Amino acid sequence: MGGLRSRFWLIVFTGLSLGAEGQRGADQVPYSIRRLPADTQKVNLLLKEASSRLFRPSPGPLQTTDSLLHEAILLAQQLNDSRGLGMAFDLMGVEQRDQSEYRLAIEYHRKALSIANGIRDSALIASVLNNMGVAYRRLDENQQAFSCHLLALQIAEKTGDRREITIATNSIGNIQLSLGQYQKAIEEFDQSLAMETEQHNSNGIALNLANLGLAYEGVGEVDRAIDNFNRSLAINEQNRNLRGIAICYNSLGEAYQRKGNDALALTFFNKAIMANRNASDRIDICQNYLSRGNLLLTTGRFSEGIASLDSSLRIATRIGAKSLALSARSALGAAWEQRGNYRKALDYIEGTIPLKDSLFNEASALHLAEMQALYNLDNKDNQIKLLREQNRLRRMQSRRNWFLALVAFLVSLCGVIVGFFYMRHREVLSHRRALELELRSLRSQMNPHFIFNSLNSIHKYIWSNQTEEASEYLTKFSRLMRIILENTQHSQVLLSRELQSLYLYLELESLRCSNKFSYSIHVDPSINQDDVMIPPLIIQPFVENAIWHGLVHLEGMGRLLVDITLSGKMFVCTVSDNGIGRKKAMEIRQRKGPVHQSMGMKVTQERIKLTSELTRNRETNIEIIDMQDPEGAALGTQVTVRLPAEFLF
Amino acid sequence: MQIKVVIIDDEQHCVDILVSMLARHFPDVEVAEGCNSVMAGKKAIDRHHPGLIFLDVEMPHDNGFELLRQYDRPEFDVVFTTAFENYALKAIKFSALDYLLKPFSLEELAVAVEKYRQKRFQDHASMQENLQVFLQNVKNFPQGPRKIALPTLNGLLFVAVSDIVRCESQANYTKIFFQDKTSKTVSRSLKEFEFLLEDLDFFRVHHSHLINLHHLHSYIQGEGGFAMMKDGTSVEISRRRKAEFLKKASQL
Repeated sequence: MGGLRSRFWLIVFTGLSLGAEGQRGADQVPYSIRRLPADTQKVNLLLKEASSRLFRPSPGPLQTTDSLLHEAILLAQQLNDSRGLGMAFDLMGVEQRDQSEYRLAIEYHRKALSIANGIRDSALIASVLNNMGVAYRRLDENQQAFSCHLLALQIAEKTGDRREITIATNSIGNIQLSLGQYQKAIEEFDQSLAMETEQHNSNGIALNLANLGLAYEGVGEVDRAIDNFNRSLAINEQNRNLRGIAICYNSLGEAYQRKGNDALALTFFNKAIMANRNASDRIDICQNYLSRGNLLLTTGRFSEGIASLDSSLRIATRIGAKSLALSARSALGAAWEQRGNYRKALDYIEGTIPLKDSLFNEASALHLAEMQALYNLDNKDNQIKLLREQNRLRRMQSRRNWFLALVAFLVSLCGVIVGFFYMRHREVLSHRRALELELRSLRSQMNPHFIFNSLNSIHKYIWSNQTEEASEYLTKFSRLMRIILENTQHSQVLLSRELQSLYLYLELESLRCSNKFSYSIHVDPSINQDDVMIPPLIIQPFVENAIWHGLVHLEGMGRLLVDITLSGKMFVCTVSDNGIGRKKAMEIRQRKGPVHQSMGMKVTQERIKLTSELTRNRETNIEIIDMQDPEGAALGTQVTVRLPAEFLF
Repeated sequence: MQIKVVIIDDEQHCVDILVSMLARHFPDVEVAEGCNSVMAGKKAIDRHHPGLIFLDVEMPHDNGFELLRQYDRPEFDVVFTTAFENYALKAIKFSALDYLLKPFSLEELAVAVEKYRQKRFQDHASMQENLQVFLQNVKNFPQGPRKIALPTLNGLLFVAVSDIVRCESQANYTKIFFQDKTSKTVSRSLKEFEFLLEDLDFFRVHHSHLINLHHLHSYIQGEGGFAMMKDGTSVEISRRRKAEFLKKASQL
């Protein structure tokens, strides 16, 4: 809150570059502030007090303001309060300006500006720039002044700071006024006046009216000028603004002089000088002396005129007001020339040369500066645009980088997944290969078992002198061996080929058991035996088991049935017998001892297990049912094998 | 009518078994001589003029085919005996000649003898041609036989393999389609033709179709697709055979 209020004060103060007003109890003892704890609020209060002193129509002792500001600066430095420090330096600058120490003022403003820039406080920057512009203007360094105000205007417009806009506009008008660009100046002042009216700032209104008057005077509308001066004067008198009053007097004096009313003009000049005699900023009184000197000279009051001009020149030289100094010197030179004192005249005229040069440079440079300022602004806009563009690009780039990162991540993720699956695939393949090798070894393991059983049969025929039977058995066995040798080369064989071997096998076993059992193979007629493929020798072991563990022990005729169907893609083979059943068979086997082992069955079960693993078919299984009559007597065994079938076509 | 036979086998026990089998069960068969080499065999044939010879394919010095080469116009028929199912057997089957796989049963022997009994009333020319085709095929064997003997109702038909466009299964018969757009039904299963011709760029594209890939014109996409043959016919291809078919066809 304190900060805000002090800002307000600061704004009011800077608005009144030519005048000030004490808006509150100006004589408040700073003690009330001094006893406060050392914090930023204290800094703000110190600044507020200082600015209120600076704005008084008749400024009090400067030491007080000075000490207030010094304390504010020290405290702000202690507290690292950059904003407070910036404002304090700004006020120091104003204080120096009010003592006509324009160079020093500029130095303080510069300091304030660098601090304000550091903390990027736009409001402070605009205010400092405006104050700095005023200081430059006092030095007639219009180029610098213009730059300052234009920049302040630009910043203020961006932040919407009406106060600073108004000040800058007025100041720019003043610069144009001093350059003789009256029409432009009028435009600026009109604008500034409208804004001041809007803000109900009577001091500002008075100031702009006075400025407008000067501009109208410049374009020759002297009456209108006088009217403006009078309006301004009325407001200033109401506000008790001594400086404003003094300025109006001087302006009125010049206007009347122009109208030929020298007496009235002189009165106004004298009034102005009287009003300004205690002013700490000497530039106004300097102007008064100049105006009065010139008037006196034109009315033939030579010595009085010279004295007045001398005063003006002395002050102008001291405070460095170049155009006033030039005017004073020119007038003095002309006066002495007229008087025939050429030496003195030359002295004065010579003194004008560096001033002229300096001012001319200012004037001509101003145009350049104007261009420069505009260019800078344009440049700045462009830079801002460029930065924005760069930002946008960076954002886009970072978005693109994100996108690329995401893509890279996804790609590497895919790579990892693919790699994982590839490894797994290889693992599966090698596993598969291992299984296939195992299966192959199991297929070839089948043969010896078969061979020995058959060779035993043949052996029996030979010993019983059954030559023909031996021959028949042998040739069938030979054919069977051919088929088996061929079939076991492949992991899958046609059902027709497999059944061929099964028929041969059954023929042989039937012969061997002297037709102790009958057999039949029933294939579902819908099955194409030359299309369906199954692993070789997968049925035979179950048939063998049925014969040798079920049927051979049976009293009476045995029956063996092989039933083959397709259930979807599953090959289903049921081998049923009316043998003695597994329980009895087990008893017999135990009686015989552990020597006799069903090798074919074991191997086949292993093969079926492996086939199920290879094909990942969960339906692959072997189901054994012990058939019983209602009394529980064994009626035989039924084995069902389910395998995934393959199809050739 | 007596059947005079000569047996040629390098292993004497094989000769002995066949002699006793024939003596015991085939009263109309007279074994004129049993020999152990091609040379002895030729002498025996020239001496006895048998109607039928049992000729072992694999013999240490000259194989059975060498004996046949010595006859331009043989007056006898041949039943090959062999213990091995190898390329020679395939050539024999190609020419529709008879053979016995050792050890053979009495039943198998009886079938062979009965076949001869049926054949011997036919003219010798067909038999001679049959043997010549066989010898030619055996000679060409690395490249494959040029001609195949097709058993028809009226006897054997000898056709160049390259003339066959495709074969179609008709139950236990096979219909053969030729380049000149004629066709012939043969009493052999398609499976047998597949066995004989698969090495000669024939491919079983379907359960009932065997095609000569040299007569393939184009392939039409589909589930399995269709093979367009050069004679303008199209043959359906099984879904499961498609991949292998395309591989084989592109290799050609």
